[in-house]
Amino acid sequence: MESIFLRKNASKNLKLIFRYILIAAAIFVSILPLYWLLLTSFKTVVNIYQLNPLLPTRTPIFTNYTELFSSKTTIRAIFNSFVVTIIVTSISLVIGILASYSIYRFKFKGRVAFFISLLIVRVLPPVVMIIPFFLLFKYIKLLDNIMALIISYPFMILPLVIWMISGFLSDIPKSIEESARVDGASLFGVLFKIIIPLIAPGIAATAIFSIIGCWNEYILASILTSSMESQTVPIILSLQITMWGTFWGKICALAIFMIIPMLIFTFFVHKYMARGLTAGAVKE
Amino acid sequence: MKKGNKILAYLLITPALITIFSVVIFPIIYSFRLSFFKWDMLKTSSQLFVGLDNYIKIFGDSNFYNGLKITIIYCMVVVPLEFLIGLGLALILDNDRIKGMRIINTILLSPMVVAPVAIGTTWRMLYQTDIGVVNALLSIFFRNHTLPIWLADAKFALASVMFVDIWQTTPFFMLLMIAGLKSMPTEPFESARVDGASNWQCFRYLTLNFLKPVILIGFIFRSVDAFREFDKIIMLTKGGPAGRTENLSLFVYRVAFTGYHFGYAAALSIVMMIMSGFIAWSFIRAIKFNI
Repeated sequence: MESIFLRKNASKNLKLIFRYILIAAAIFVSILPLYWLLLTSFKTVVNIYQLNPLLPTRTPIFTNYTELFSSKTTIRAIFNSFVVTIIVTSISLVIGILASYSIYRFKFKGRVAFFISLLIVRVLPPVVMIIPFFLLFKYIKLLDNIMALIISYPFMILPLVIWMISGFLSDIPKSIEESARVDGASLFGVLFKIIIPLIAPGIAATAIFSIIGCWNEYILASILTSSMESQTVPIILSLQITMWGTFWGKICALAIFMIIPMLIFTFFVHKYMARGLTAGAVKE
Repeated sequence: MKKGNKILAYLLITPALITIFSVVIFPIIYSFRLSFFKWDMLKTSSQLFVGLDNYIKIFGDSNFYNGLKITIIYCMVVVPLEFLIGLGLALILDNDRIKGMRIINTILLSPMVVAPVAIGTTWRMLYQTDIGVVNALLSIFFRNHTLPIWLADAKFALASVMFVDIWQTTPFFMLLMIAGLKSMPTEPFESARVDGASNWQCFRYLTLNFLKPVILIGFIFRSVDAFREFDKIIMLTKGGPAGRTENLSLFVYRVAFTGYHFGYAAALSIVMMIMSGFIAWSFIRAIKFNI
């Protein structure tokens, strides 16, 4: 009896080990490019060509990073990205929360039509917007100005925000909101004192999605910006490719700088990620 | 609803409506109008009304068909593969005895939040023949073979690009499937066991059935993204070699900002918009609204 039990246990353990091996393989594949990026960012050009690409150098250098952060263009791009990301995220959150709350609270006619139009906006390929945006901002003389990015990004961000916040709101039992209203709280009182605290984690997750979206955005920035006046980090990174072969280490350092903050965010929101990425869709 | 409330409801939603109108609807109307004009911005500032000419031109344009073909292949290959691998990973991870799920999850999900531009740049370096990792690893197994120059080889370019997409977004399906597996009831599985169902039967008739809605959502979301993919491809190949990786997004971008044929590009945009409209329509039919 005991031996059978042991054997069963052993096969169970074997299966578990097998699972771990597959997980390790998946982690290896996922992390390899990022690991290589990190290694290469500490190598000199000579190192990059001479050493095994997957082994760290014995003499790491930091000049790739220091040069990067002493370049005016890069500093300006980081500043631009930062400003655009913060402003677009804040504005979209405010507008989005108000709109979602209105839908949640009042259930007015036309809300389904509103949602469907948001959905259509969400699936629009960004490339179809580049011509009208380019001409529009040329006309109002905002090309090569971060204002153009601040005005155009909500096209992608706002629908996401409204879908996500509406999803979180629909989890709140209606009775909580109603009892607060019976107690005589004003509409904004209910919103700020009850609703917003209840969905605070959801709002944080939404904000992070918006931040990731703005920080990573490339296609609109590539046509609306043309000088360091307004270029963002993704643009600077893409321009390094034209100087191919010379600044490998620098490219890697810039990519690492761009990636790290988003990875830290992922750690905090991965619980909400499924929710955010499929915002609005409900399992039957 | 009281009248005051009604006004308030509309007041709260007005900023959102104004934003959507000014950054989406108005530009689209403008594009639509432009699509009936011939306008080569570099040559002339005057727009010439040409009626449906731009649309007719699309249907005789081999670059358009090439773009359409690449887009369709891209969607048909990456989405199902990402689903299969993602489901596999989710099934592997779905075990209470596995320790460190939080950290494993974070690592596996990380490619998904990395900027597509950074991913394209990184993989372009990884695919290099002199310093790249891909060939360095492969040469361990294929010592005596000449390995391809992945992104520059007409035979392998599209596959290489699709591999990067699969690398980046498989975690998306994994994430969805894990959520789906977690929310499955246990009773049907127990009674199926009692009735003597095999592992495969349980998986085939119970697990897949319960996952169906989540799988559907995953397919729709990923198809939308694969359809409009731009950033990674432009960094990896710029659509080359010889258009082998030029999907519709890259084609429209090229017509607009390399040739500056704005009228034609506007017509192409409208066609792409209609296609994405179909995707949205399938979306609306497939999911329930939760509002």
